[in-house]
Amino acid sequence: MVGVIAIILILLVLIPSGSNSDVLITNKYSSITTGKVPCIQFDNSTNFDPYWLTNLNSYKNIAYMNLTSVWSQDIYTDDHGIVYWVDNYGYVIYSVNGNINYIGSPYPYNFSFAGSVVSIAVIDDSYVWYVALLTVYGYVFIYDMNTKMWFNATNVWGLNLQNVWKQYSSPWSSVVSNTLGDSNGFHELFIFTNLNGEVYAFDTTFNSTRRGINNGGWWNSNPTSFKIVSTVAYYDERRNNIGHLFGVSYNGIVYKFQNGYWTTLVNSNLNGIMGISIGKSTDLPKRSTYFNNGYTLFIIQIFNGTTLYEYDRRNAIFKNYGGIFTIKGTNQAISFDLYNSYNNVNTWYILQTNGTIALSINNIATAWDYYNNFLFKYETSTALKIDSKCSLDFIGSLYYNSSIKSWNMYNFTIYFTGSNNLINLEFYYYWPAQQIVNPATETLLLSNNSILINFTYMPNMAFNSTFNFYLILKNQYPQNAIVYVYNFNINIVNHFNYIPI
Amino acid sequence: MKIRKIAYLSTLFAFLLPTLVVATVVLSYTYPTSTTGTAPEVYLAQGPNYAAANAMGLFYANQVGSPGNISSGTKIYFNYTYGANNEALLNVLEIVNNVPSGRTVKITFDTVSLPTGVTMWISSSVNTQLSYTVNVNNGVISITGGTQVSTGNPISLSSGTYYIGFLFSNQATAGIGTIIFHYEIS
Repeated sequence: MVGVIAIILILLVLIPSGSNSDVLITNKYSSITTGKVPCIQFDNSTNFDPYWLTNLNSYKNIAYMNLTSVWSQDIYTDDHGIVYWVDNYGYVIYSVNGNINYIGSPYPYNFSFAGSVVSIAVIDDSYVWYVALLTVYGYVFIYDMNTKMWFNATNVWGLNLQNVWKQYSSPWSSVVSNTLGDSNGFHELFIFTNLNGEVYAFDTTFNSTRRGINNGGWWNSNPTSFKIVSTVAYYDERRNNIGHLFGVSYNGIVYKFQNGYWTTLVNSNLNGIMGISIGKSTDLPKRSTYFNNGYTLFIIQIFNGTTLYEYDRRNAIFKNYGGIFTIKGTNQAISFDLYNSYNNVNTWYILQTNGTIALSINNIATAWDYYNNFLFKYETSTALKIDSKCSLDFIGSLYYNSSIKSWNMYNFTIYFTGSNNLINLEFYYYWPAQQIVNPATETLLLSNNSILINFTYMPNMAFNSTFNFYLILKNQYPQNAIVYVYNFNINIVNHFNYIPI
Repeated sequence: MKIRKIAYLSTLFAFLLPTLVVATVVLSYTYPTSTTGTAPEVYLAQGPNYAAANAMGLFYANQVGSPGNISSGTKIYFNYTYGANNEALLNVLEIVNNVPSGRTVKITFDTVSLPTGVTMWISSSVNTQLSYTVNVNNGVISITGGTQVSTGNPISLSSGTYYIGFLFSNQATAGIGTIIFHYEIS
């Protein structure tokens, strides 16, 4: 019994933990965790207002980009039936009897000071043949079809529309042309209107030293609360050569400009109006059209799958006209070919966001043909950079996370250019095939160097698309040492922000 | 039989009655001892990616001796990056098990107390480094080839190396922490 007690005591001394282990060792470490400013950061110094603007968080590793897309913006038919259209980056195309011609842009996309192009109008007479572009900030660029040269009309003609923008940021929205007659003959004018209804006319009949003052000048310089998104002018030779100017707001109110003031003509009770035109009605009796020669006002909605709406003056309503024409996309602008209409060939042209043009192929607009996607896929320069001040080299890849209303883009591509100047495809979206391709190609980011990010894009609809990504950065050597995940969100804007959608 | 009884009694007296001054027999023995340091058979050390993380200013843990090991009591410093959605420092530490095969080594993390948003991972298999995937639905990094270190559950170690990494979520905060582990060899 005594021996048993002795053995138990010995065991207690040797193995205090009571386990069967021969050796037991304990280690204790304290740790200190601190935050560190990232040595890889987004660099938005390449912001190009108003086309791409990236906001960053304070540590510059979360990026929110607003990317203004390129979209077909406005269409115009001149006095000889030639059809012109322009995208918001100022690229002009025209069609003569279906033959397509390219004019190009005044400064190949490099006029951010002037803002995006919002409207196009053409004067085509024996004196001048001018294609006028109006920008949202009120700058005017003219392409002289005779000399094949662009000039900055804001400077050459001494226009000051841009001062209105500078004063209270009212966007300019529409330019049209019209002919006015007076005792000196006929004058061809460009008439510029902004969202608040201020109107300025420039008479091209007089040379630049006269600054077009004969019938031009400020027709209205008192801002209104009207939000005029589109205008149309009409030369009424039956009424002492009087000119008419109409405007329409996005919420469907049609205005008439008279004696220096805008007055409400009629509320169409239609929403989402993008364009107004004057064309020949084939179903209304002449007593019901606005003009008693059978011509009346037409408006279009932005939405897909709509018809034209024509103004029935007798009943003070807008009613359906023709058949559905916009099965392919959202509508931006409308123009009617008055020139051929005098030979009873009535053609409406409706420009859609993605560059498709719907054109009526019979006089009653019940059948439509399409020019598909006459819009150029725009390629940005470097829109954003990723800079490294790390001591190590990294590899960056962009991984698609989610999107909202991606179908509003026709295509959208993201490229990374690595520190080795190799251009890598990171992401590609193609609406017709409902295709998302995300190779997330590994791109080299050397120490104290950059990755450049650029895009190509073309919209499908006028509404916005949002794409969310994760930028994953890992050090190049050794692998699997350091991994960062950053957020990168891109909101693509496919319309002017004064359009309330 | 009488001799065995005497031995038992002498042992009993040696333990229970050391203060007795009256003894029948007193035996005295002398044993010299020598204590020296030796490289541990199981130890924490800088991992294969330590140099990279350290060069980036993201990780520091001093290592001494040969083979290099991180002594108990050492402070370990690690940095997360402000604003990053997720961040991982992988294979920056390692636990080396040099115990000859045939013996059992079990390691138990008694305390893993790290700031909010910081987790510690150890490879599941010997001599296999931690790797990762990123969930593109939420941008969260997941460790592959490893398990999150939790307290109390003993892990059996084979002979070789196990790798340790750290994950920082977008909720990571600064702070101090403690890592305590012990291992048993049997």
